[in-house]
Amino acid sequence: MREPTFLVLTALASEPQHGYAVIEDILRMTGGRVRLRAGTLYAALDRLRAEGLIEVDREEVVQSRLRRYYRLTGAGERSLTVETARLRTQATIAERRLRARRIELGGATA
Amino acid sequence: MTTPESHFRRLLALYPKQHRAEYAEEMLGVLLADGRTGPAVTLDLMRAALGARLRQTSASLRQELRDERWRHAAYAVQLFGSLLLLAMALRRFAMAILTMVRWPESDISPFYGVDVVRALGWAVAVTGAVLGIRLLGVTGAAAGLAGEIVAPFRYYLDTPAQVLNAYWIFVAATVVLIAATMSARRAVPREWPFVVAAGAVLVGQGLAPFSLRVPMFGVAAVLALIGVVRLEPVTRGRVVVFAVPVLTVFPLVRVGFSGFVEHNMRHPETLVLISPVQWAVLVVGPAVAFVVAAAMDRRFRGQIPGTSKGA
Repeated sequence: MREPTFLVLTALASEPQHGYAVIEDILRMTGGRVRLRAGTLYAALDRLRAEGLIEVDREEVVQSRLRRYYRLTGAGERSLTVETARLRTQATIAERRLRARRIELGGATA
Repeated sequence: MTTPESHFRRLLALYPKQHRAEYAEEMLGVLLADGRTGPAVTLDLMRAALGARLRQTSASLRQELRDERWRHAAYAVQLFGSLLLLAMALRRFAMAILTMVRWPESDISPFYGVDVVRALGWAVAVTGAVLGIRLLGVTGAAAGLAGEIVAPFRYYLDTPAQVLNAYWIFVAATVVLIAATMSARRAVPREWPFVVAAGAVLVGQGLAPFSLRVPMFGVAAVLALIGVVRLEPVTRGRVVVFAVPVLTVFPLVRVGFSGFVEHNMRHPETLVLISPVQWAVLVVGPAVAFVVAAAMDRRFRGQIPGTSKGA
């Protein structure tokens, strides 16, 4: 799973959100590191809808512009769970190896 | 209408119609709320629009190729293509035998081996097509393709142009192999005698005096063309689509590689090999030509009164 996809699913895991709210949420989650652009965001949303991982929650019109809220589906929740476990496993391995490396180097960090 | 809005609307117009209908207004709202403009946003939208178009084309192509009529056309391509490639392989044998007869002292030993494999491969492919045995047709075509690739590559480091000259045969053999994997046999097309005659002329062309070679190649091409033109209209258009990648190779090599060939001819001491980018062009060019031809064929059929898109 590519990072934008993972981040979009994570953003929708808490509550249904519209496109711009997803961009802002991801910006907050990543500490300002990732600010998705509209083209990338809607490519991900379209693909995730086609794969059944997200769906439209509701639509509203704000200042005469369409605003569509998306929510995670059951399949999306399972997919995010699997990906989270995979990333956690990898992170744990990396942490363990870094710890062992520091011990080998006698506490030196470089 | 504000300037950023009109700018974004122009960029959103690059998306496929279906995508625009679903997301354009929503995306416009996000773009305006986000407030970012500039080349990065423009590039992001252009890249995403291209991706959406590619996904749509690929999906409609996959759906189209599942159609039984494509599979019947693939059978005609498999049979006619295997016949013509067998003729080309036999032609090389005939030329080697003629060389042996005329100049018994000449060394034709490099001819054997892979040349036998490709000739046998195409013979097996024809047999598989005629008998309607898919495994035989696919195996034969795969062996034929392997032989067609290996044969000129023996000389690649000495004369890279040989690979370019034979490239149309690689593409033709690949098309026949793909057709063999997806074909559905109904009956052997009635037009087969024209293609067999074209093959016979091709074999004879290899033995003919030099002055007759071009006219005889023309006769073979016309006979093969008659075989295709006389196919049922439903099959004919699709057979032409299969042929487009092969036909694309000629202008591609002529226009794109003339400098390459000329350099190697003038400077044999500093031969240049085909670069990775040039290989990519050689592979992608015919594939794109097929996709474009299939899309045009579909659109053209859709515009003929009284026919459905699939007719």
